[in-house]
Amino acid sequence: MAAAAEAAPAAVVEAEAEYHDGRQARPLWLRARLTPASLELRRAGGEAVASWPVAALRVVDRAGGALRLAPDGSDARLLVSDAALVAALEAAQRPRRRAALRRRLRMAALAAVLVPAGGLALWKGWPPAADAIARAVPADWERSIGAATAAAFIGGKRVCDAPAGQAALDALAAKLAAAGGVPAAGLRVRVLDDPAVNALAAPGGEVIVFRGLLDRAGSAEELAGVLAHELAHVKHRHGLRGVARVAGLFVLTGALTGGSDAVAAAAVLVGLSYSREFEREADADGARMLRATGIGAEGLQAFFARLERDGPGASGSLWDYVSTHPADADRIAALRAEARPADPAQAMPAGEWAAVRAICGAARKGEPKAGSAKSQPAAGRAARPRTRSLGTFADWEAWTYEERGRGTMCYAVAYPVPAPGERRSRKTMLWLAHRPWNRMNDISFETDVEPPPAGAAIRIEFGGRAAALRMRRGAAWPHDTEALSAALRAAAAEGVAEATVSWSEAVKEYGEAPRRTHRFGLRGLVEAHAAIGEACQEAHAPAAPATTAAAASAP
Amino acid sequence: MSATTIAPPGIAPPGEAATAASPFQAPVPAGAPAPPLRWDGSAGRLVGIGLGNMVLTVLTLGLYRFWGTVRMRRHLWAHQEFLGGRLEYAGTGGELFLGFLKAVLVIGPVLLAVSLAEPLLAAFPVVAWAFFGAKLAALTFFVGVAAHAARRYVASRTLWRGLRFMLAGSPWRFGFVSSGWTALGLLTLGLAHPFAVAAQARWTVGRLHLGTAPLGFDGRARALLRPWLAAWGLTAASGLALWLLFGGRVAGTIIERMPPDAIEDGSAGAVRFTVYAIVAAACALPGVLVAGPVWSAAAMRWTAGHTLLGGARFSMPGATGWSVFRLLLGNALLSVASFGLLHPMTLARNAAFRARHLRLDRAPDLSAARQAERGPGTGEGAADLFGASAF
Repeated sequence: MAAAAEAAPAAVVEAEAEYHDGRQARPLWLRARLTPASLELRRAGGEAVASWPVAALRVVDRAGGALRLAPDGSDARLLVSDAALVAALEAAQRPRRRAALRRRLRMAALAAVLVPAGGLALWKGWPPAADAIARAVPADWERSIGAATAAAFIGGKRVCDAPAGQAALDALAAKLAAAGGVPAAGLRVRVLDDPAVNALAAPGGEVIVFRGLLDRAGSAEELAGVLAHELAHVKHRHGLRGVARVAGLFVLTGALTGGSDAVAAAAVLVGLSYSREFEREADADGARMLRATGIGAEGLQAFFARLERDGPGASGSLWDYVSTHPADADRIAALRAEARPADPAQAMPAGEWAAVRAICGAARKGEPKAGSAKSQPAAGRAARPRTRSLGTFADWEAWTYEERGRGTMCYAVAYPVPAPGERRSRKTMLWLAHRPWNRMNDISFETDVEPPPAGAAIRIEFGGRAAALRMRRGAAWPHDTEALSAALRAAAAEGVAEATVSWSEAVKEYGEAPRRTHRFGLRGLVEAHAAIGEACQEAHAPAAPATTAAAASAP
Repeated sequence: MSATTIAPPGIAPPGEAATAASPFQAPVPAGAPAPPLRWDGSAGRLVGIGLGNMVLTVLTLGLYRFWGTVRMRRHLWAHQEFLGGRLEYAGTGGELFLGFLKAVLVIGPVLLAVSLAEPLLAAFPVVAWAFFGAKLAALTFFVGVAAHAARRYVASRTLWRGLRFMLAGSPWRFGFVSSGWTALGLLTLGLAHPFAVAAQARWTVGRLHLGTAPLGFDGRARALLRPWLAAWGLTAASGLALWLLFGGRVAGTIIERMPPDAIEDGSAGAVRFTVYAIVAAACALPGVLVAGPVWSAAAMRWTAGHTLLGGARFSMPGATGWSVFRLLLGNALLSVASFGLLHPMTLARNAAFRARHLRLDRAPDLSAARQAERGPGTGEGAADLFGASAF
């Protein structure tokens, strides 16, 4: 020590410091003497307590302006607050700090190589591993999973099974499956009575087509395109493979990252990339199936064109399908490349296509969605009818409808006055509904024949008054449905003979666009409404002139 | 900083004596005990550490978080001064990382198997439900185990005047205790909660040692029953009153006013349940906002008031419902409004709150305290996997 002091006398610094011996809680105040080689600790009397080599000294922290030191591998601590000693100790720490910095840089370099490599290995390695797990699941087990999944989707909704439509659908599916090499065992295509525009393939060959998709499909070839796509999912077992991939992905990333939100979001993106990968594969293989049957892939392309045109938010839009089948420009372009315009075969004869479209019942789109009256009187139903006729009153019919879980609602309905020489159509109607549980009188307009576009300005006019209707979920509703219902009844009571519902076909740049008009007779409305009021045992508020004025303004 | 940091009142000035008079023997003025805990950390620094950790964690696909946790803790520990001695956090990121690797190797395959089995079992509803129940029970149990193991690790890495803390008690037994109280709490609609709080206190401060000197805990859950029942009753009564006055009608009106086609046959029940649940929660909110902080403050005062160290007793007389309300509301607003970016500020606020309100009635006698054993070699892996955390 003396030699070291001689070698660099200026480097010796001495001060008081607080010492914890790491064995008990009482602190000692010691004289600390720093030489280039070591830090000597002595009691005031000169008795040596410890001597620590400078090279083995570690700075624990610098909180509050004091330096806390520890010799390597010891619990002892020294707290130094003397400015000169702190400065000298910091200077003596320089080589150690440089070493620490080098170690950190090495770690950072290592991480820069290993982290992307590990991430890539997981990203590329996990899908095949998950696929192997999914393939190891026995087929009958997969079918049970599929049945459970399908049951969850179906929920309380009706599965449409009109025999002619189902037969045509099965024939189309069988033709596509045979052409595409889709295993026939367990394959089942069902139509769900749901307005959503969607289709899905659950594990084990369970394909569900939503009724809304049949309504919106422009042709049997479009349906064939969607069906081929779903059958390709079945063929490649995308359902089960997707479940295995995503479940494992979330466990792996969650475990590796400790539930970091940013990384969880990244996992969701990776999960979506799996789904896109499956969709592309199903598109390509579906298109091959369509070509093999001679139908051609234009149908699916036309369907996607419809997706693009309608976009989100449109009434009864195809957005449901888009959200589960992420479409992008690439995908449509790939399909266009697949499409072969030369002389395509028909997916099915026109009669069969009509049967498929009618699989949920003829008047499916004219249902009063207001009350979910799925058992419309005109529809041929196997199930126990939930409707009951209250009689016909000139232009109007009165009905009751049992709404599940709610009770009985009543409604009056009128169909348009037919043009001379035409038959009366039941596909367009004006509804006056009454639901006792919320004491509301609704009025709405629905049509299955070229329905108004989403943003159409629809107008109802009667007796020199007019009100605006707005499309919502396939029906047109006034702003104040209660007041308009009362106004229409008041007009009928005053002897107004007719109400018209009309809208512009399109927005024309110049001049007035042609209007589509439906005329409804008002004879019998008062009586029909009295009948439903009686049936629903509810005193209806009389149509006061004030509400009439509020509901309908001069055109 | 000033010399008082090193030599608080009671410690002999440097050079006067080789052995300083320990603060433990120094007389504390009667009636006005000095706050034993001091916080001089910086919320801004903590936020900076938090932001840096976030960036590095994302860049390293989550791996940096172990080292980030250590950085955060070192600041929090080093700026809390207990009886003139700063705490020291002696854990390392490497220990946390190794603990995590161990846990991944042991628990990872089980978690993976469970999450893969769940969708596959969908084919057998009864089995699936039984499996789901067993999974929940096992998860509750293991969260308790992992939480206690993590607390043991953190205690063993916390030093004061060179002495390690030590938390006794088997994590497995704590798993049973905590999952048991969770189940009982659910079964009694929360009425058993004070007993769970007491069990938690016995298993944390009650089993904590500073070196070899035990901290004592002598609280009984019975004393918590009254404040808890009052808070529970006030919340229930005010919630019920609001429901009867407005809630029921509001919920009914909302359902009536919904576009008729928003409620379809299949989903009508679910939609109605959701509306009722949201409105009921809104009705309970005023009660929770008033009674919650009052209860939290009572539980805090009770826990502190029954904690002993070296013959001295802690207390938190200033932790009132109003002060806890401000603390919690401020924390919530800071976290939510900043999307979690300012969450570290709440750690600083909590530390400042503790320092402001904690009291000790006399100087504890720690002359018998000796160094504790080293404690677990690696830490917190299981807690990390289960999302349980010591702090």
